Amino acid sequence: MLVSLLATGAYYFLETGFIYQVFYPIKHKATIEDHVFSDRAVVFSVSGPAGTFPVFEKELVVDPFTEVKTGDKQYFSVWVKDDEGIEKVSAKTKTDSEVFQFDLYLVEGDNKEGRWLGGWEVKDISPQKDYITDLTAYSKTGEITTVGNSWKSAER
Amino acid sequence: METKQIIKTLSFFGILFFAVLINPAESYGRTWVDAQGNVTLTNSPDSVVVVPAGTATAEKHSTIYNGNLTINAGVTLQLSQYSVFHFCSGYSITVNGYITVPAHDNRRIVKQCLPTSCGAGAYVDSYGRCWRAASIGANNNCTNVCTAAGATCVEFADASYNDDSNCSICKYFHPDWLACKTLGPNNPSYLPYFYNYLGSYKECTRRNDAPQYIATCGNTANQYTARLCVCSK
Repeated sequence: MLVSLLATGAYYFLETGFIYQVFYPIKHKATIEDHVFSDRAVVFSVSGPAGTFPVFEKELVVDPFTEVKTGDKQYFSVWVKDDEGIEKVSAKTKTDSEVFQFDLYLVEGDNKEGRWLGGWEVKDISPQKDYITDLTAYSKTGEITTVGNSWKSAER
Repeated sequence: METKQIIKTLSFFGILFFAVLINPAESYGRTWVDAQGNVTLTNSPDSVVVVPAGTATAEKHSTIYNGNLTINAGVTLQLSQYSVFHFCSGYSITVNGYITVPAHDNRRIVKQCLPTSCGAGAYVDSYGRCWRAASIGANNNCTNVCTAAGATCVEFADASYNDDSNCSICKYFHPDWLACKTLGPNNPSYLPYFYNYLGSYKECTRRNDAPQYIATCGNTANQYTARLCVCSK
């Protein structure tokens, strides 16, 4: 256990800056860009603080949002704006016993105002339960902002 | 196995250990149905506050914030699907985090208007208060709309893409225990019936051969645009 804890610390500093990551991302950008939203997708209007950057804006799409099942490929699409440019956008989902993280890709616009899209393969969830995915945007100047989304798993 | 991979594998079990100790499950969502008084939403225990009923796919219930509402940075107030959100005028709303609204439900955001003026398009609830629909379109920003209505401004993102200004699919809200009824421009019953600050409603859809109206809302330049379908059954 001690070795594991030490390794955790090492991984924290070496790799990510986040507490923990297990990667089950949809890795290929071409796959992401080809994604067509399903009828289980839900579009959210996003309203954030005025005058602060980076800022999520316009809309957030979660696909699927309803009846999410293990094995689903779940996508998140979000618009982000920052006058100095966005460095990256990542997503983090806390499931029953783990935390999954993946990056989103810029698929529309540019890094000053663009739509970012990414996804993961859903794992480690229970039926009829709400889960939260936090989307975090990192600006080139080191500022961050986070918008969350709560989605629900299917009955079985 | 290279060193980095070994570290990664070991860290998996290490963090699992921490996860069980520090963050036991069952911490998702909270229930907000009737907030009387000032409310500040923080990111503890969750970064997302879903209203109402604590689930992202709540049934058709409504939520009232009757007081100042502050959403701290790092917090998202997420309106659930099929819900109605009321924010009472005379109070402030401070958004340092985010508000997200199911786009097709944008028109369900309503706000209380001045109680002395229940004009066309307004709805009188069981307490004698006026409620007015305030779905924000592309050319009428929230500030203008709210000024015209004498209400407190709640800024939302452009919703023009989901505003059905042609009323091609026209629905309205109605108390869920009553039959749908005939509506007109001065008789909109698309807002929920309230009792003890709680409401529940259903959607009524107009008959294909029935007349329909489009509720309009003016901005400070006296420019009136379609806001909400008002249909007759």
